[in-house]
Amino acid sequence: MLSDKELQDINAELAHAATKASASVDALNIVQRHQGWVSDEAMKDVASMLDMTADELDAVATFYSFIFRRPVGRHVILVCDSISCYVMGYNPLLDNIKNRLGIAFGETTEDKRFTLLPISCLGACDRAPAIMVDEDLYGPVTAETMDGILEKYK
Amino acid sequence: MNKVKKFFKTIFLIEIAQGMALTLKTMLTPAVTRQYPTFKRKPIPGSRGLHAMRRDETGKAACIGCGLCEAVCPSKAITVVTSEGPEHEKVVNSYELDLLRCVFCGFCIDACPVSAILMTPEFELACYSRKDAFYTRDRLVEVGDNYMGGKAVKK
Amino acid sequence: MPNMTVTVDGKKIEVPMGSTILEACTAAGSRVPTLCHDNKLHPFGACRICLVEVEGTPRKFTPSCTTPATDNMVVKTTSPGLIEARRMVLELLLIKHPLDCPVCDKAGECSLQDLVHEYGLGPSRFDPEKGYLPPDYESAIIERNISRCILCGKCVRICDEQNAVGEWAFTRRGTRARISTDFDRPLDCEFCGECVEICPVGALTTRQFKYKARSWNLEGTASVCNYCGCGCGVSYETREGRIMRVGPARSNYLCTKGRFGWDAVHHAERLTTPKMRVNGELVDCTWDEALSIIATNLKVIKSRHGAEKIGGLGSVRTTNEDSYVFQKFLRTVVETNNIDTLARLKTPKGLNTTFFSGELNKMASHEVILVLDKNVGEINPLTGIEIVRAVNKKDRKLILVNDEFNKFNKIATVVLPTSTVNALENLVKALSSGAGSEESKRAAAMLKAAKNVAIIVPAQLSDNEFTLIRDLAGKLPEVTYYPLVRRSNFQGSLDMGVMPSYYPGYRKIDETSTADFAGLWNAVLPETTGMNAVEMIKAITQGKLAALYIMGDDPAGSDPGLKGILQKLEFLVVQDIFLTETAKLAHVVLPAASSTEKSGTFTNLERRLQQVNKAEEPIGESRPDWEIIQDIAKKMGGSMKYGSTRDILAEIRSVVPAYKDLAFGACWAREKSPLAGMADDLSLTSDSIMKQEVITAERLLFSSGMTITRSHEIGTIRHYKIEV
Repeated sequence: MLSDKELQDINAELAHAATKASASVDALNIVQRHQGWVSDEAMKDVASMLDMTADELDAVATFYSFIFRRPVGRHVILVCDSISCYVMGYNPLLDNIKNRLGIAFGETTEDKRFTLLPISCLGACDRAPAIMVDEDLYGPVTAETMDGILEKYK
Repeated sequence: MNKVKKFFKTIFLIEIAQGMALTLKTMLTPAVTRQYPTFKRKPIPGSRGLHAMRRDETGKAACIGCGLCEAVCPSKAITVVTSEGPEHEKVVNSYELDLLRCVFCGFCIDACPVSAILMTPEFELACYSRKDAFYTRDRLVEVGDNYMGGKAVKK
Repeated sequence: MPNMTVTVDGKKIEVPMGSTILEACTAAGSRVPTLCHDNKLHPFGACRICLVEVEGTPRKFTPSCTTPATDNMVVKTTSPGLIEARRMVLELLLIKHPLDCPVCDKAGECSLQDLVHEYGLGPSRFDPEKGYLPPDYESAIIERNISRCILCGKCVRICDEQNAVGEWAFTRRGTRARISTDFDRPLDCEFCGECVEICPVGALTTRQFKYKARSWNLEGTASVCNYCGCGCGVSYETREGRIMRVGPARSNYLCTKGRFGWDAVHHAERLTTPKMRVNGELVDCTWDEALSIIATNLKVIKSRHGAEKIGGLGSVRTTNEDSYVFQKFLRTVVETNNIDTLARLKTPKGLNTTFFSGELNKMASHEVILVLDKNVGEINPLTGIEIVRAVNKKDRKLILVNDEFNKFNKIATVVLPTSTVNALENLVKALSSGAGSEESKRAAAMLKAAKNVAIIVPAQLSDNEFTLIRDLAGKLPEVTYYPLVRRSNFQGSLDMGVMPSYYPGYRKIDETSTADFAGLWNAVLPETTGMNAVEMIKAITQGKLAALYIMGDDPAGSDPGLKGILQKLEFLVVQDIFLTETAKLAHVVLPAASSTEKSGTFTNLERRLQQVNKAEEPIGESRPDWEIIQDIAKKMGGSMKYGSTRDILAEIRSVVPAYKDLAFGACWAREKSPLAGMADDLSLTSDSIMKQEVITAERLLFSSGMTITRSHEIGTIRHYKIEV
C-alpha cells in the first residue's frame, strides 16, 4: 500500500505528465524516496495508477541502476566499473571497499549501513576511479581518501 | 566348302574334345566360388549392413528423438515417436526401422547428431516373417551390443 | 500519397512516400533477412540483421526495417561487406543461444536456424555462455526457454500492440536483459499463444505440441475454427492423420480457444458408437439398429399423433450443409415446421434485420469505435483484437462502456463506467441536448465529430437497449454495427432456415413460398408455420410434443431445469459428439463427427462463407451429421441422395439467393436478405428457459460452451481470472 504522501506526490507528477506512463520514473523515485526501495507490492500499486502492467513498469525499474528492486542499506555505494575507472585502478579500489566493509556486490553490511553495487559509467572519467555514495560523487578515490568518505555516512 | 568342314568336325568329335579340355583345365585350377554359408567372406570396412543403436554413457539407447534420420530417409523406412518425460526431457516412445523398405543408403547415419544410429557390416538379413524385418529400438540396441560387446561407443 | 523512386539492387521501383527501405526492398523482390520485424508490428530495429547498403550515406550500413526510404535512394541488399556484417550479428546471437536444435520444437521453422544455415557459420570466435538460465516450466500452456531468446522483442510488442495485454516486458538491461512476466511469475494472461507463434526462435513454445512431432512431419489442412462467430482461419497440422497442433491459416490472429482448445475432439469421452435405451439403460448398438429405431418411432408417432407433434432442435455449431439437410429432413420427410435452435435465445435482437455486421478487417476505417459490451474480447476475441489494432495502429478513438476494469480500459479514449442502458441513455441525451456528465459529453462530442462510427452491439439486448441503439445511430452520419455472436455457425443456421417460420434464405412461410419450395424440393410441405424453441419446450410440458430430434445442442446442460421437461418426451433423439446431459436422457444417441473430421461450410458473423475441411478421420463409428440424417430420411422413405457436401452446397446455392454466386471467403451483401430493414426479430425471449446464466467465477473466454470445457489444455488455465 502506498502512503497518502506518496499518492499525493505521484498524482502531482501525473498532473503535468504528457502520458501517464511518462511519469513512471518519477513515480518510482517517489516511492524509493519514501520506502528506500521499490517492492513488488509498491510496483503493482504504482503500475495501476499509471495504467501500465506491473511487468511494463518493472521493465523501466530494472533498466535504471538508481532504482532498487531489493532492500538496500541506509547508504548505497556505487562503484563505476567502466573502462576509464577500470584502467585507473578499479580493482584495487573495489578490493579495498570489499575488505573494509566485508561485503561483495549486491550485499548489505550487517548493520544495514552500506550496500555495495556496481554501476556503468558515472560520467566522471576525468576523476577516475570514481564512486558514488547516495547522491554524492567522489573521485579519484584512493585507499587513503576512502576512510574519510565512509565516515560521512552513518 | 563349309559343309565339308562341318562334316569332318562332327565325325572326329573335335568340339567335344575342345570342351572337355576346358573342363579338365578348370578342374586343376583352385576354386573361386566360396562355399557360403560354410565359408564367409570378410566384409570390406565401411560396408553398409544391418543398423544398430549405440548406448550412451548411462547405458540407455543414445537416440535423442530428433527425427532427422526419419526426415532424411529416402524410402521412409524410419518412424520416430516422441513425447515429454517426467523431467521435461524428450523421451523416445518408439523408434522403428522397417528393413524391408530400407535401401541401405546410410543417410540416417550421416544425419544423426549424436551418432546414435550406426550400420554394422551384417548383411545376412533373411528372415521368416515380415515382423522380423521390423526393427524396434530395443532390437537395434541388441544388435549394437552384439557387435560392440556391450560397450558404450564414443560418438 | 505521392510515390517516390527507389533503386534496389539495380532495379528501379515506385513506392509510396513514407515506406521504409525494407518495404521498398520487398516490393522490388529482393529478400532482406529479418528477425525482429513483422508486418503486424511497429518497426523496432532490435536485431540488426536487416542491414543494407545505401549509396552516399556516411555510415556504411543502414538497418532497413526502421529507416524510411527517400526519393532516388540507391540500395544494395547484398555485398561481401553486408554478408560479413550479418554473419557477425549471427555469431553474436549464437554466443548465448544453445544449439539444442535436435530437441527444440521450433527446429525446421526457426528463423535463426534458417539464417545460420544460409550464412554458413563455422565455429564461434567467442566463449559460449549457453544455458545460463533454466527453462520456465511453471506457466500453463506456454513454456519459456530464456536461453534460446534473441531479445527481438516480438512477443513483448505483439502482446502490447495487438492484444493490449502487456504480459511480456524486457527487464534488466545489457547482457542481463531478458523477457519476463510480472516479477517472473507464471503467465496470467489470455493465453492466446500469439507470442509463441511470432517467436522467431524456440524461446517460447507450447506445452501442447512439446516433443509431439517435428515441424517438417506436419501436413496442414486449412479450415475454420469452431469456437465462436468470428470464424478465424485455422490450419490443422496433422501427422499420420492425427492433429498435432493448430496454427493460423494465413498468419491471422487466433485466440486461446482456436489455438489450444481443439484437443476437445480428442477427448476420451467422445461418443464412438450409437447408443439406444434398453430397459432404461443406454447401451451400444449398431448404426442400422439405431437408425431403424428412429425411423420406426418417428413414423409411428407421426401416424398416431400427427407430424406437428414432432420437433427438431438444430445446432449452431454444425456446418451449413448439416443444418440445411436437418431442416429439409424435418420439412419434407417428417413434414413439420417445428424447427429451431435454442441459441436464438442468446442473440442480439435485430440481427439480420437491423444489425448487419461490418467486415472485421475494416474496423480500423472507422474514426470512432463505441463498445457497448465489456466482454467483447471474451465473446468474440477477434473483434476485440481488431478494436485494439484500430486504436494502436490507426489512432482511432475508443469509447468504452464498462462498469468494471479490463484491458480495453487501458486503450480507451473515454470510459463510461456504467451499465449499457445507462450509457446509451446518457449518450442519446448528451447528443440531443448536450446535457450529462463530463464523460458522456466528451463521448458525444467525439461521436458527433466523427465521419463514421463502429458500434459493437452486445451479444444480448433488451428491448430498451435496442431502441436506444437505433436512436443513437439515427443521430450519427454513418454507422457500422458489429454484433457479437457467440456460436460459430449461428449465422449459417439462420441462413439455412433452421427456424419455424422461415424457409432457407429468410423466405417467410406463406402460401406462395410453400408452393415454391414444394416445387424446388419436390415434396409435400406442411402448410402452417411451426413452434419455436420456447413454444416447443412449453408444448412438451403440455403433452403437445411427443418426439424431439436434437442435433448438436445440449439444452439440459445449459439449463438444468429442462431435464425434467425433456424426460416427458415419448421419444428423444440426440446427435452429438459427447454424451451430454441431454444425451443421457435420450432414447437414441447418435455419435457425430466433429468439425475437424468433416467437410462443409460455415458462415461467420460477418456473413462470410468459409470452407471447413476434413483433417482427421471421424473417431470410432461417428459420422458427419448430414450423412446420419440422410440415412434416416432414406429409411423413412425420403428421397435425399447427396453424395458429398458439395452436392448439398450446390443445392443451397440454388435455393438461397444470397449464396447463389457467393465465393468462398466473401460476405453476402445485406441487400440480399429479404428481411433487411424489416421489423422482424430473429431472437427469442423467454422468462422460463435458459434464463439463468450459469454463474461461474470462470472467464467466459476459457469456459463458454460444452466443447471448450472438455479441452484438456484450456482446462489447465480455467481457474485464471481477469486481472484487475
